[in-house]
Amino acid sequence: MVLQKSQVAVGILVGRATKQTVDLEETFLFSFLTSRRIVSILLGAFIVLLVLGALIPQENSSPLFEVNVWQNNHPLLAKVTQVVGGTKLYTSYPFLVVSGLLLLSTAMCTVQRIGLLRKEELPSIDTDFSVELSPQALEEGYAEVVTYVRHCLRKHGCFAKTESFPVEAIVVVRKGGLGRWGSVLFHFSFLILLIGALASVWTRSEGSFILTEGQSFRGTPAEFVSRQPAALPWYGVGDFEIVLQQFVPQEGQPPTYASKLIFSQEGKEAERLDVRTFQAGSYAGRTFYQKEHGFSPRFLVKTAAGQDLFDGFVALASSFSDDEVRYENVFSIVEGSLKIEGQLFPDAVQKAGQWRSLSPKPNRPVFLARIEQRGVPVFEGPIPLGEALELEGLQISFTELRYWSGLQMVTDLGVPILYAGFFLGCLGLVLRTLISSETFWLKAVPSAETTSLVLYGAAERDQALFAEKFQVLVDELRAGLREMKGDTIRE
Amino acid sequence: MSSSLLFNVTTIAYFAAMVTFLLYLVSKSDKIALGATVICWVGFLANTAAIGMRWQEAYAMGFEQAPLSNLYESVVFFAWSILLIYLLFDLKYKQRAIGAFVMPFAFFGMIWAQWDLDATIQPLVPALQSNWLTYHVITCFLGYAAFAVACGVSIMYLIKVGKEEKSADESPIGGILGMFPSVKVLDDLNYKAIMVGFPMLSLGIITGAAWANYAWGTYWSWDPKETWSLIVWFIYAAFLHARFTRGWVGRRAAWLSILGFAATIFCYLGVNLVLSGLHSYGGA
Repeated sequence: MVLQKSQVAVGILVGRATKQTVDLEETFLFSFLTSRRIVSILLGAFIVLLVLGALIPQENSSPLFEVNVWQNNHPLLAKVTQVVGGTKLYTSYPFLVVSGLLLLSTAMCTVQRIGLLRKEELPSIDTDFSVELSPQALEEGYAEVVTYVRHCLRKHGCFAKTESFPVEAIVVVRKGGLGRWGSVLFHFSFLILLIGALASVWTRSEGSFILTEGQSFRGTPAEFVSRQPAALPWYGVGDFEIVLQQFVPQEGQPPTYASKLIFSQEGKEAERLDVRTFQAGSYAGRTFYQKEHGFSPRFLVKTAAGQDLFDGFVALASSFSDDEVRYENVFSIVEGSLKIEGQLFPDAVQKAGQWRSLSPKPNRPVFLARIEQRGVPVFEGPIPLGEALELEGLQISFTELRYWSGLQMVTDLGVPILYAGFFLGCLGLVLRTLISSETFWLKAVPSAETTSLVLYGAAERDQALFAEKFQVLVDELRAGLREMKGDTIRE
Repeated sequence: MSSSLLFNVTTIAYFAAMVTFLLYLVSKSDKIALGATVICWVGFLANTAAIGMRWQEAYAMGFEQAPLSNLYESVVFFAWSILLIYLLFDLKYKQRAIGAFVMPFAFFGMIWAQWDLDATIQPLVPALQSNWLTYHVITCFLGYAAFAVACGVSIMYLIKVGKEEKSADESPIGGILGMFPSVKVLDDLNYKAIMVGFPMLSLGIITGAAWANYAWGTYWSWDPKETWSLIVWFIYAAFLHARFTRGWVGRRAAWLSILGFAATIFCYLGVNLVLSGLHSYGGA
């Protein structure tokens, strides 16, 4: 098709970004880790290990009996999969090596991708994809046409600034350049997550403590049971104080619990916090989790002369089995040379000589005690709440019953880094998903006798869909120009 | 009117829409396609109202919880999500033929929920009593729904490209397949759907990890559900990388999309019903 004087051709170009070479000084490790074959192998191996890990009961996430049953039922499979860790797959060397290499590979590929993007040029013009739809004659200049084209582009959401692109280009509208950086940001977030994970491994400290209702805790090493020997220095000594105001067992199956905590600093109440099962609470960079609970009976031991030998709460250990919960402990009162061993029945009844509890609610608490004085058994029997036991020269009273709550305290400097990584990852995904790079440009092609105007379009992605969208634009332009120029337009 | 009745209306509407889309392929009538889309909207609105009503019913029973607490509610929400994604695609790309391949996912989901699953409203187990539940489940299911749309489109692609390869001449294919979008458009739609689903799944995993840290004190426990969601994520990540770096488009991309959706369904249903773990309450 030959263009006449002042003709306008509306064309379409669907192009791809040109290939770039990386200028980075490529080390062996860099080349190795960014090799597509290696990445594919690592990814494949990682997925296979994940599938195995999901199908084989793992000791970290499955009940031990389930792990044992599986091992007994599948002895051969258990033996074969030992190569990759078996029931401890996620801490095995093959898994750690593969995941570590995959992370490194992601990091290297991200670096490579940033290099590529910085050098990426506009999509090149490939006239093989150019389709001239309808040359239309214009007797006048093309300024009016240009204005109209820009108007149409704006209607399709292309508001980007006009740039001076190829020499003859009149209008160039690019949009969605930011979208390309979305994927870089997404990959970059993995590096942040990796740093956060490492920071978490190195700085995470956790431990647990118990508080009886009304009792306070200042985080001193003596009170704090550390599960990580290096953790204690993190907490210092009592920069704040915690009081367990109340422990609230809640209805439901399974039942849940809440600890109402009061935090104080320098003697002043700073914050009240409810920590529930599955709902942590945070204060001063520490996160608190509700873990265990139990009962603390209060005992008062007096001499016959009325002198108090002991008045305090004793936290009983809780042990849970399928059909019952046992609250029991052994403790000594040095002044009276007493050793008291016993079990609490919070809702006690006696049937056929046996004590049992109807519910975990403290409706009728009875402490079934076995007491020795100077190593000699002096009493064995129940002490109901509010009653006293008279021994030779001593009176032992069970005066009160309160709950105790077991809380886990965690500090982790990796958490903010991990959340930053999550945020950047989400931002990257949003940019990548919502913003797609598209370019339109109107190009004047002058010659001695004619001046042609050609509209081109190029999309980074979804070329077929873009072609359809471009077709709509072209149809609009053709109709608009025909209306504008009337008889001067030729099909 | 109860939510149960509205869910029945939804199921019928989805069935009607599926049949009408098939009629459209046979008749090639744009009016029938429009009718099918209208029925889709009716079903979607009924589904939305039913979920809202169930939410209200739960509150009336004293359970302050979003209707995302058990398998029944998750399946009807999955059907709702599929319709949402499909209708958004329909509004943007106006490729109505894909409704014939996407609606069956929503319809069979609803029919399974209505016939076979326990629809009783029960209190949320303590482990799920958190606002994170809403964010986590919604993002995951929008991801799953986008993958369902991608799977439907991929099936269309494979059918059409198979027929095209068999035909000796290069003349356009007629009949029902003539109503399908071009293979290039189908390939793009497959990619587009995955580009919606992948970020949603990523957000689902991220919100799940944040919730796990809040509830259990650990981000990741290598629970089977977590592991399978990671497998699904890697499959779709491989899809995207293969497309960009190796030019995996067309047939290979379509198969990868179908494989990804199979893994998604196993992650959603298989793990809950077959394997144990921290998400086992989802099978109830």
